[in-house]
Amino acid sequence: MAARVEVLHPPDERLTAWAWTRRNLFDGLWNSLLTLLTVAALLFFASMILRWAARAHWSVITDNPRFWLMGLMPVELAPRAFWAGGLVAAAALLTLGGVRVRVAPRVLFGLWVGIIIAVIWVMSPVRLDQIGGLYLTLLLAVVSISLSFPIGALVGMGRVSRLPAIRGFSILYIELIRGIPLITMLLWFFVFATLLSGDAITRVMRAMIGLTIFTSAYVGEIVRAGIQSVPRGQTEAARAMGLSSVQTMRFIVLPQAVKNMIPSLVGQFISLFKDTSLTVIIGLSDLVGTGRSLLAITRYLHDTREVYVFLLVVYFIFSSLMSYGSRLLEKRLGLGER
Amino acid sequence: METTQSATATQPAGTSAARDGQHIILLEDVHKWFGKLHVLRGINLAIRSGEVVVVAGPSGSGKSTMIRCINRLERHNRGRVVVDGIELSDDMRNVDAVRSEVGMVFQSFNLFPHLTALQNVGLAPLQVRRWPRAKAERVAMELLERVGIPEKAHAYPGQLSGGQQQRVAIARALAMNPKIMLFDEPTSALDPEMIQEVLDVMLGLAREHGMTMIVVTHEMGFAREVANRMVFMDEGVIVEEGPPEHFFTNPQHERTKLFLSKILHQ
Repeated sequence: MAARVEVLHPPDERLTAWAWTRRNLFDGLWNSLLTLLTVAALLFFASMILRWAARAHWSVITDNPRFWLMGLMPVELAPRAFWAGGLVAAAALLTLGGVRVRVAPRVLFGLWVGIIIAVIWVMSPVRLDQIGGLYLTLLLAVVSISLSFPIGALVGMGRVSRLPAIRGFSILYIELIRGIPLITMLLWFFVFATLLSGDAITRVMRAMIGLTIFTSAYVGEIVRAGIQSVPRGQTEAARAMGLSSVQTMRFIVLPQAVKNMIPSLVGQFISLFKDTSLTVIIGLSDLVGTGRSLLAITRYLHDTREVYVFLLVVYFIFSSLMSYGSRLLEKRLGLGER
Repeated sequence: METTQSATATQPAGTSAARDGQHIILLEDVHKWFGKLHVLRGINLAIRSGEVVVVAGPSGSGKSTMIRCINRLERHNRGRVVVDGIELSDDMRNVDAVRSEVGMVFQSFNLFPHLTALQNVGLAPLQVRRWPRAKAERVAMELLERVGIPEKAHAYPGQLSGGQQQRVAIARALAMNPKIMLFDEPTSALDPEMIQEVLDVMLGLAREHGMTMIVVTHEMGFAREVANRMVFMDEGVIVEEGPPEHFFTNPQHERTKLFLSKILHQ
């Protein structure tokens, strides 16, 4: 009779806090010294920053919340901006929660379409050039991201197309744009738009178009890499079953490629969000532009540090929110793959 | 078995075989180059409906390339490939027509990792045949029962063993109700204890359903049991072909003898 081998529980390898500290922080003389040194340096810098923060002139921030938020938008239009901002923030929170509890993507998509229509309706009396501050930064980022994703996807698919004309055009576009710094691109398009249409295209629109043209090229490369990361056998199996090349792309290649693309895409979009600050160079008053115009006021002349630390914190918060969202999305899409 | 002798030598110029409609697959003087590499050097092969042909040969002999030319995963550079009366050309309509009649099973399974077993099998009926979802799922379930794993219908490929994955892949290839099945080394990537479960499914397909099959494999036991004809390839040509009883006991060519001595005495 074969003896049944007993099934054992895995050993309990959790450490007490004390044991963990000893093992990881005070493991030998050099490690202990390094730990102490690092802690001392951290405490030193933290106390320095805190002492500065306690005495700093935060009035440049606290006295002008509306200016930071929406720049020089006329006061009577401000409530509309608050409504629009509130709606978008609510939608963003619902989406994050919805991704967590696995609400159907269709529902979330519908929610966003509704919210966007509502925002456009609320903001209709506001001209684009009246928007400034954080609103402008977010507007530039959101519009450029939502435009450069579909354009980039088309360019990326064109890059792997079998048709030489489409492939050639895509390669030319991607390589040309990737060879130009963003600032040059913005300045060039600013002048070029004037030549084309005089003043019909507003500055904000010029910035949006410039950012979109620029980011689409990078998104195109990410999409190409994502598509090519799907093994050839997948396409072969799909084609052998009789699926057309469009169906193969839609049902087999893209669903797998998108998952591989998300980390790079989010990285690109975070970078785009931060790059919106370069629009200062064509005279836009986004968040950074707002800070600089506040610094030009005599009362705040010496508050440079306060303003830039505040900017740093705001950009950091929004960028971290984007990375957090991407991690949630990756987890959700990882379903079924082990 | 008496049918196989007449099917062996089809002349490149003679198209009588294509016209008489007896042969479901016909390859005439098929050449294929990869860059400068001449991988198929004039293949002539005619296969009747219901025949099971096992293709053997050393690696790099062009076995896989040959069967991939039959559903045009590879484009042949010279010669003719006619499948069920349709000649393969650059016309995609012909290619699609052939592909919907030819199922293929790959060495590395190539299941779609983001779809469940049931979705893998039902995808082509749903999207290509445009069946309603309920019907596609019912047929997919029947096929999974036929290959013996209905309980894994809602598992993803990553949760299945190699043998189970390959059986799902066979069910998927059968979903379009093909007249011909191509197997490209279906058991080479499997652990030894899983080979038999896949071979059993293939055996059933040949015996109970009279499927026309071309199988590239080194499983000589399987070949002895079900093949109507053995084809031995080397360096891009068919060196020898014939019924398995002749092929195994009385091979004609030196290269065949050498290959068999290596593969049978492992």
